[in-house]
Amino acid sequence: MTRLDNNNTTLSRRGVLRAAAGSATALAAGAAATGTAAAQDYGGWFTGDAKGGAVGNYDGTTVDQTGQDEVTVEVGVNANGGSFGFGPAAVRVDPGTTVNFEWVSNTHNVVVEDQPEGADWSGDEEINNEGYSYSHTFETEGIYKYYCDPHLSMGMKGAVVVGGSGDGGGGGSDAPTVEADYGDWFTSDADGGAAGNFDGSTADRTGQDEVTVEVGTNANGGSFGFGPPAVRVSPGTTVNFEWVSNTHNVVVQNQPSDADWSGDEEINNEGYSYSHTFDTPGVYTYYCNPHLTAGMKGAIVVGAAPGGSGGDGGGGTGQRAFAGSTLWKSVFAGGVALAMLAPILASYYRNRTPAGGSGGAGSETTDEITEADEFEPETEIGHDEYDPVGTLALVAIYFLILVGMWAFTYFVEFLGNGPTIVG
Amino acid sequence: MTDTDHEADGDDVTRRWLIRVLVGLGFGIPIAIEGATLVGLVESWLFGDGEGDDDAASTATTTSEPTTAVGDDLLPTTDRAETLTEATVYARDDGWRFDLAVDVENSGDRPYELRLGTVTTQDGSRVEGGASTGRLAAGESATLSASYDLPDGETPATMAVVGVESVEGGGERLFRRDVRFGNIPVQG
Amino acid sequence: MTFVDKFPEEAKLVRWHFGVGFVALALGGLFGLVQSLYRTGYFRDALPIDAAQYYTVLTGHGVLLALVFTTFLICGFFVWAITRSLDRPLAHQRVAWAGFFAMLVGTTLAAITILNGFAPELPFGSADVLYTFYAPLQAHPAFYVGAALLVVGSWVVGAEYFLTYREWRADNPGERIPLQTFMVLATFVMWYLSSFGVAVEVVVFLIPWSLGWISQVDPLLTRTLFWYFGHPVVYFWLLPAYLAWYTILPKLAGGKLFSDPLARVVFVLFVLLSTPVGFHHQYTDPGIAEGFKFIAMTNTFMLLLPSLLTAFTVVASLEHGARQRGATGYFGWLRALPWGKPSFSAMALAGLVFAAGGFSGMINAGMNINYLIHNTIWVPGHFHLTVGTAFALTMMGVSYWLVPQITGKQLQHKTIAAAQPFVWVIGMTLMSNAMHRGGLAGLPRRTAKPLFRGEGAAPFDPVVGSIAEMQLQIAVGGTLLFVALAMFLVVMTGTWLSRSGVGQLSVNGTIPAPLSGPADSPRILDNLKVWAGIAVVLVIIAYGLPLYSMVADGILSPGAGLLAPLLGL
Repeated sequence: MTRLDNNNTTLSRRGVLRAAAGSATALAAGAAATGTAAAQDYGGWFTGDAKGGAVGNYDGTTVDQTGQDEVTVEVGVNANGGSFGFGPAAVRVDPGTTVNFEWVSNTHNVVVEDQPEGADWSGDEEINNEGYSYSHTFETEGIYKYYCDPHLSMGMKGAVVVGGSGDGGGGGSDAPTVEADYGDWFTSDADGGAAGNFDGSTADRTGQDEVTVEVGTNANGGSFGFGPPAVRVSPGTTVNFEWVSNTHNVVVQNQPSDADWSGDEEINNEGYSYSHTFDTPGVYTYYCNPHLTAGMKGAIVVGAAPGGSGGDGGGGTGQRAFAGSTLWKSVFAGGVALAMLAPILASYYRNRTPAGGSGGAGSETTDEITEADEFEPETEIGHDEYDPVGTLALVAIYFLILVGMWAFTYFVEFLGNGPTIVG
Repeated sequence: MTDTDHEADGDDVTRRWLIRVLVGLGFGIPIAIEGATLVGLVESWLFGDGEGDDDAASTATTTSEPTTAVGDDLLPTTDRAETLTEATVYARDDGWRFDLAVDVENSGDRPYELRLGTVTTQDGSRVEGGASTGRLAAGESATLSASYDLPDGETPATMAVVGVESVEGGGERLFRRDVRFGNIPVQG
Repeated sequence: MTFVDKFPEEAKLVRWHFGVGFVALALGGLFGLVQSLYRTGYFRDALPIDAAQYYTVLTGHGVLLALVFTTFLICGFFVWAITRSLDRPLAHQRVAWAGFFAMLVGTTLAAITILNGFAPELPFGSADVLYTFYAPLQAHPAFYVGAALLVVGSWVVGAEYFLTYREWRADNPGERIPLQTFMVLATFVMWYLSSFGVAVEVVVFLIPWSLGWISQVDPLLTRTLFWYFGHPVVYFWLLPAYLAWYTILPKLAGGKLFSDPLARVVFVLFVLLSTPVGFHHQYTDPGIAEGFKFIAMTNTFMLLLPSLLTAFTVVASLEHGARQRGATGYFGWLRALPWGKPSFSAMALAGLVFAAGGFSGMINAGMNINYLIHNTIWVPGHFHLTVGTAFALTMMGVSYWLVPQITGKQLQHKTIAAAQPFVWVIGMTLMSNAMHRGGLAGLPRRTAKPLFRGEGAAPFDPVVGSIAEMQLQIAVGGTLLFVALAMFLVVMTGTWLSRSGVGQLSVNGTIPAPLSGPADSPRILDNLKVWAGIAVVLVIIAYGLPLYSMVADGILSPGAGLLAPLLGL
């Protein structure tokens, strides 16, 4: 099922909208299936009711890392208005799992707030910087709450849940199914323009070890597209990004919380290529920074499609078949409409009774067209009698406004702000 | 209202009223709008930036906290001098880089350390990185330099700075500030 | 005797010019509506464009309105002015028709390349280069050829005015040039002098560059050549409006022009000072010495003089009309003016709005204070007051008065016509006021989504109001303007389609003699050769050295030296 048809420049915007609308319902139907972990009660720890601020990077989900011997929690990830978060904020592990706390930014520590009875975690209260790491093996089952002392007020708080039920509906671990739900990423509601080459369909490339995505294909009014814009691959697939035109990069917009794709933000030209292996199931969205406004956006779905592969957005190709000629059809339709309207309008206006009709001879056509009568002034005022005092008054008012505005702008706006380019 | 309209029939009266309403609106609305603008301008001039500034997101360079430029103290609240001696953005083919240097003089009587943290660009990107003087004994001086790899085309807006003063008994006293940069020159 | 009866051939020429101009106005106005809604985010998803195509819309709006609509209306209007004031038919009608067709072909070429941004299946390539078409943005060669044909076509039509004047002069030696003819000729002297710059830019640099004959151009040089034309072009739009305000508006008010000599002085000053001012669009450009920017600034401020003279003369002429209608008092006379007459109210309101535009223009021209608003939405706010109202609304007023005379048909939908100028002014006030304030807050111009970054409106710092409120005002104002435009086009379409010779027209083409006639003024005012010569000298002073240094630095590649391209370095 290949949809790598890059002739999308002929696709009218309206065609895209139709196709997108068709697939939007399909997407909405499956959107409820996302969410991988069970809800867990932390007794208000992540809200602003507990000590410190509310935790902006806790979205109600506890990341399920059960079944692993070692789990990483990053200290100082981007969250809470700065690098003030634990990533992930809440994680579930099996008893006996070693959690590595890795500092990814500066001046953080790990202070234990609460832990189950019999547990002996003491945290790491020393303030450390990026590059530092610290680990602890959690044996006792229960909920551990901790925070970073310097940034507690920002909401830099975390929790580790040891043991308990890990089956929050995550599905079978061997074949995770992922819905191709991009939200509004490909529309112009998200950052940047609408991706004109996304027709609602996701190219299915599951079951392959290597998949190619072309960077800078013809789309979006220039060489501003990823080809294909949306692709589905199996976990563990290596995606090769191949530059087919100039000045593009690959910037990650969103990825599953535990994925580590960093994209390739360097701007490169035709002939360059870059690859990444996608292990974590989920939806990855990315874009090209220089051409984001043009709609150069892409997405990669890692994992099998629910209920059969690549079944979504099936209407796309059918829509496109006539989209290319929409312009000509509408031009033609407009021309026909105009040609039909013109005589109707003309006959309407030709038979319209002339307004006013004063002096004119009704509907009779005369050879000579008569003008209105010349204006007769009530009082004839000659050059010498005329004294334009009203003009003087108006001009004086205008002059005062000008001087006032000028002084205001100069002294208030300009002197207050200072020049921005020179000086 | 044309020169030829002499007789004032019903239509003409309606039309005259229409014109009166239009003239009223056509002059009234512009005068109201421009008047409101002028009053607003004068108001913000007279009572400016105090309580009147209701949108908290006002990040304009003029109204928020003062900017720091080369020669300024990074942490005015400490009694140590942390002077920004160099700050330049280098626009190179292999990426944009922000280099800065700070002269730290521990003029206090306790050990002191200055740490530089994350830089936020004008476009809102965050660039991790940092540097630290390490622990400076009282009276000691150091020059701290740091370098940040910026996204292409972006210039630094703020930098997190922490001054750590060792307190007797093993504790630490932290001075934290997000330094807001003034215009930093970009060099090719 | 109506114009169409007296000069049927000339009336046909004017009709064709106006017709093409109105089509451009309709399309460009539609683009304007799309633009104002897309930019402000209202109904953005319902609009059939994406962010990249916004720039296609922007280019179309600018080119079709600021270049095509204006040039056709002006050339047609001047045909009427020359014929009427000299009271003789054109000397060589074929010349004027040749110019008209050159402009038409040029417009078609440019329009196709612009529409290419929506429909790549159209011939040629795209031209999303904005109407300020200088490097580095590059359009398809057809766009540049079209632009060049439009300018050259206007030159040819202009030549016709001079040929007709020469014949008149041969028959009337020693007479003073009629005022309207003088204004037309002065405008075209200025136009020849200034549009030469854009012709060089397009023909010498941009066309070879877009064809791939030369690999690069010097952006500074092409920008300078563009703005050499880019500011005087606004006087090319403004002076026809002045012609209407000086010669038609007093008559519509029921009075006479206050002073013919003052009007001539104003036009002479525009001939002298219009061109050596382009650098005030380039205050932030490196590579131009401050001193030359300063010369441009002083020249620009000197241009305030003729505009203030105009304000005085025109208002005094209106007051004369009001007093002849029996009005008294300092301000009471304003009520006596015929505000219900669309031709009058459109022109008078246009003049009023221009007075406001003059203020923001002074801010633009101030070398230091310009930095406050450079490249912000303040600038479109300004020129929608000037070209967008002072010119466009004046031409609508002219049309309400002149179209019946050149077609012999009665003006239709008089009530819609009477309301139209006021709707336009209300819409323009909303839009332009918000644009000016947005500009002060740092809102950029030429941007599809000014709040594109995640912070939204946060980086902007409005002094008065909020960004969201300004966006709403811009959207509402733009919509009202489109409604007013549609009203105008309905009136024009109806008038055009109605039958000629039915009843008496509601307009009268007679223009009374001024209160103070040309006999009171020195004859040197009429000597356009002298003024053109001085204008050239002023241009050389303002532009000679900077242009020489740009050229000497390497015509195509700055820094390479003058002869480098020839030596193959």
